[in-house]
Amino acid sequence: MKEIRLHGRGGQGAVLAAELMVVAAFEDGKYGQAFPAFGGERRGAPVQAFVRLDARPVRVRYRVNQPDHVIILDRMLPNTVDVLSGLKPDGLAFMDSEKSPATLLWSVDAPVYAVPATRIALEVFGQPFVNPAMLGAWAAVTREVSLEAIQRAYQHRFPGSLGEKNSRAAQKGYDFIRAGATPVQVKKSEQTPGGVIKWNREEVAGVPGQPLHFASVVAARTSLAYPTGSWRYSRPVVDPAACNGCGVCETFCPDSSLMIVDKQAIVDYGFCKGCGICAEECARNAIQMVIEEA
Amino acid sequence: MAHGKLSVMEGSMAIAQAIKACRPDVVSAYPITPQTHIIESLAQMVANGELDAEYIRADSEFSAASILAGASATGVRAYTASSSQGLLLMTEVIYYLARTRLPVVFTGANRQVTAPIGLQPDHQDTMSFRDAGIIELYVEDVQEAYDTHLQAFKIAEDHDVLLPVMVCVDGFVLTHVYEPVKTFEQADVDAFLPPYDPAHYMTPEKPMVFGSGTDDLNTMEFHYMNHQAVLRARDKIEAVAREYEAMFGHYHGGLIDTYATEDAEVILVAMGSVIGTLREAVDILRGEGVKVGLIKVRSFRPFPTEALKQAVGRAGAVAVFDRALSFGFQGVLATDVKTALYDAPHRPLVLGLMAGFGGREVNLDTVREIVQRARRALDAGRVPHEAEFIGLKTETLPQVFV
Amino acid sequence: MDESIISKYDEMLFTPGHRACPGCGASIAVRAILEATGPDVIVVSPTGCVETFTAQYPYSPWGVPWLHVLFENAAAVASGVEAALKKRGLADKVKVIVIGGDGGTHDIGLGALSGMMERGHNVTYICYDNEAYMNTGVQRSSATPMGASTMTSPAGTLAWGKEQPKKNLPAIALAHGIPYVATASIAFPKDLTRKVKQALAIKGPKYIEVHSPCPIGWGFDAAQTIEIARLAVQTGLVPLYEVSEDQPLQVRKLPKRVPVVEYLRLQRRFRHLFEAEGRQAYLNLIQAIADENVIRYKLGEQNSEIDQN
Ligand SMILES: Cc1ncc(C[n+]2csc(CCOP(=O)(O)OP(=O)(O)O)c2C)c(N)n1
Ligand code: SF4
Ligand code: SF4
Ligand SMILES: [Mg+2]
Repeated sequence: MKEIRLHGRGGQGAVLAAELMVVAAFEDGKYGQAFPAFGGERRGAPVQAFVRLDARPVRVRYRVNQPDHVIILDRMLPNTVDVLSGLKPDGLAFMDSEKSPATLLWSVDAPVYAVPATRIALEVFGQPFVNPAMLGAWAAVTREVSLEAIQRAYQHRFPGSLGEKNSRAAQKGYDFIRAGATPVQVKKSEQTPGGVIKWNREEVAGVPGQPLHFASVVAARTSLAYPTGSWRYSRPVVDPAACNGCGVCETFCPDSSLMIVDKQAIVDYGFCKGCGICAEECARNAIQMVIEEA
Repeated sequence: MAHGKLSVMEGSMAIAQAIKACRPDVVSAYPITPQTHIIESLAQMVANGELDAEYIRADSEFSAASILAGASATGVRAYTASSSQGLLLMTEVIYYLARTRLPVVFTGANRQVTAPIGLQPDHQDTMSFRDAGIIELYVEDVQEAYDTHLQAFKIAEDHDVLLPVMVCVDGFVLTHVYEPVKTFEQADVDAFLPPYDPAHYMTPEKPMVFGSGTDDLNTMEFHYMNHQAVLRARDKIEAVAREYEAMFGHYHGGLIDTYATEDAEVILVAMGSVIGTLREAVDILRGEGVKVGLIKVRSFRPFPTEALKQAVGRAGAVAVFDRALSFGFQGVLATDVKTALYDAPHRPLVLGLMAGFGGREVNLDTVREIVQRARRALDAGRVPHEAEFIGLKTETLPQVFV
Repeated sequence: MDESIISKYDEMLFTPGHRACPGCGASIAVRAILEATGPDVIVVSPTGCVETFTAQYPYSPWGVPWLHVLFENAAAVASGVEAALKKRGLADKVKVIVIGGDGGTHDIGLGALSGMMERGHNVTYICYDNEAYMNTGVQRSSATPMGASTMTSPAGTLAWGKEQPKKNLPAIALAHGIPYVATASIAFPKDLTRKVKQALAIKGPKYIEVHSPCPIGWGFDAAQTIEIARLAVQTGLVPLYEVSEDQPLQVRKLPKRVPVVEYLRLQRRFRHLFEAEGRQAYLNLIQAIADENVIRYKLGEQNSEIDQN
């Protein structure tokens, strides 16, 4: 049995990719199982999906804790989530990236294939739908399922031109590997991924790091220990010369992540989710959204 | 010891008197027979200035319970009463109160659950909260109803407990009966029951967030803590009953009460208003030389496992009177009694007897028949059916059921 | 965290670190509401997006006492909070508000809301209206506007989305004879904050409905949240008005109106109205709703008593 864990963000299609992996494997005569980590997570929040593939029906029903393969749909994730947690000694990882993943935070040594899935997706869709290229690359390396089965799964799921595009993106991911791409050997980093900001306020129950509160009551403002900055795809950059501190951006920021200090807008990148409202609403065009690079 | 005043009073009025003496801050309710007299009496007390409470006439039982959730989370003492459909309509809130550990006191004026719609008492309504994480106490007469309500707040609000308590009172049989009952002076009740001292409540000085979500990370731990609190209530119920006895001279049992169980061959187990009839029957049968005894289960949750094991002792058969049925299985109380006795040193035969559904009468003849059944089972060395329906009118059933 | 602003967090009533989707209109509404209430308030929320993204144990952005009980009872819970505050002698100091979604308000919680209003509790009930059940994945509510496609009112070859118009809950609230009813939009946060302040100054039950776009459920880019909210107002589909005992009807006038298609076209939930043939009739129906609002709420007449911030 092969166990695969997909990491992505809400809205990125990790669950869809997992589903289509199993559909494709079934086409190829295998059995399988795909399921999400259930939760009330919103768009942008880190999510996981799990896949098991086998020659016989899969019976176990728990999360994939010791994956053979890890597929990372978001290049920003490794620094905040321990994506390689439990990876088997001979395990493999696949990640959407055009750069070497070596500088990110990793919890174990492992071979990681950097697949330019975002670039492929932008070429094919004009939108960052990374999952078909990632599945194409994964199929090329592992040969767990055929490329054709993956393509058919997408076409079946999205009849018409969208299915065609997905199919083409999968092909491109596949070809990228076939052209001789090799994995980068990443090393266990000193800093652990996903370290939470230490909470050093009142020593009361209902605060992160303290014993549970008997009635599940939570202390005020504890979300300050839950940084959401990693949800961001692009960051607002304030031009100090253009900003006159009018505060429109502060009023409209849904995440209380932007404040006027001394007549200047200051963004807290620890929390800003990069929605772009501030840039959109600034009458003086003092804020630009810049794509985040891992 | 407090003297009190003995007078003839309707059960509902006695309960209302007890509630008044407990000084609830917020009362909210919605009328349903047979609970109505309780909440009407309280309304009148507020109208007359005898009770200084916020009395909120809710738009439904669901809202009434919700109002009390809000009140209790804001740190005040809260009370309601309901029956049957009304209790079921409160279900969602009752689960919430248990897990957020808000010590609201309820009177469950027992009534059968629709369909068919009917007004008579059984325990199907209150038993549906068996697994909600609350405390349930069942009472046998009006005096015990009065006394137990005073005890209920004390148990609920104890910081080792902090749980909703439902005092279950058989509708009509107890809510609408007039009998002598001793009520106590406000000063004496105040000495017994201190003002509510909330452990967690909402206030702007120290903002707290109530009712947060969680998942597989913490849910089991929160359930475990609720479970432990219900278990801790075992000692508290017993202790409060004794403290009450010391102050007021009344003791109706702690988790259980026993009657003539010492050398009994057959022991009856029951809850609620049938207990009086059973006490009478035991006396008569004992007079006839039948070795029969009685265990009253007063606390249904927490369940008195150890106390029951001890009280059953070496008896050969236990006959459980059930007024609630787990359809497709057996009586609810019988199930628990069997579970409790499974690893008893002497495991007796246990008869599960469906008796008193929809208020169907249980009288001395019924008890006589049941004791005979128990003795037949003892002779045979086994129990014929896991659920026997006492007084079932088979002649009225359609052919396929006979 | 940025050090230069870290100290500000200690005073904040709604801190960052909550889990709303990027660009969530409801969070903007919450911030504008708390701007009006200040710290001496107790907030009750029913189950829904705001509840879910602000209360995942042990993390919460609330800097004020906040209580979630269930989906369908926020108004009743708030009634109980108010009663308890009276008993604690805090009724004049601490305000009670509800911040609840349209599902918890227009649908499943309407009975409790009606009861709260009828009994006359001193509670300000604020509905953040994102026009569907978002927390469960975008299903229709009775506040979903006509023509919108949702997961349970999907457009299809035979269907063009929700067929019924939006429930007029402000009118239902008014019918209870309560002293203050208002509508607001996150596109006009100062107006929203002012209305909440206005409501808090009046004793008794108050109802405010805040139009709060949801990029996920409506299908638009997260950066567009305010623009979408603004267009909704400018088309006349979301009239902004307030009714109080002293002032029968105060409205935000629309000097120049925008045709509804310019609002609808930007949202995936209305896409089917533009893609298939023969859907013009439905667009006309939606335009007619806006036109009727203009007449009913006198949105067109010249009257600039209300500031147009
Ligand atoms: C009794 C009950 N039924 C259904 C649900 C599931 N549920 C939770 S939130 C929700 C929808 C909330 O919609 P709304 O009030 O509009 O808030 P939103 O999520 O859109 O912010 C539903 C259906 C529930 N929690 N309780
Ligand atoms: S992009 Fe701007 S408005 Fe959006 S979260 Fe970041 S700072 Fe706030
Ligand atoms: S689904 Fe909509 S309302 Fe809910 S958190 Fe996301 S953006 Fe906000
Ligand atoms: Mg909604």
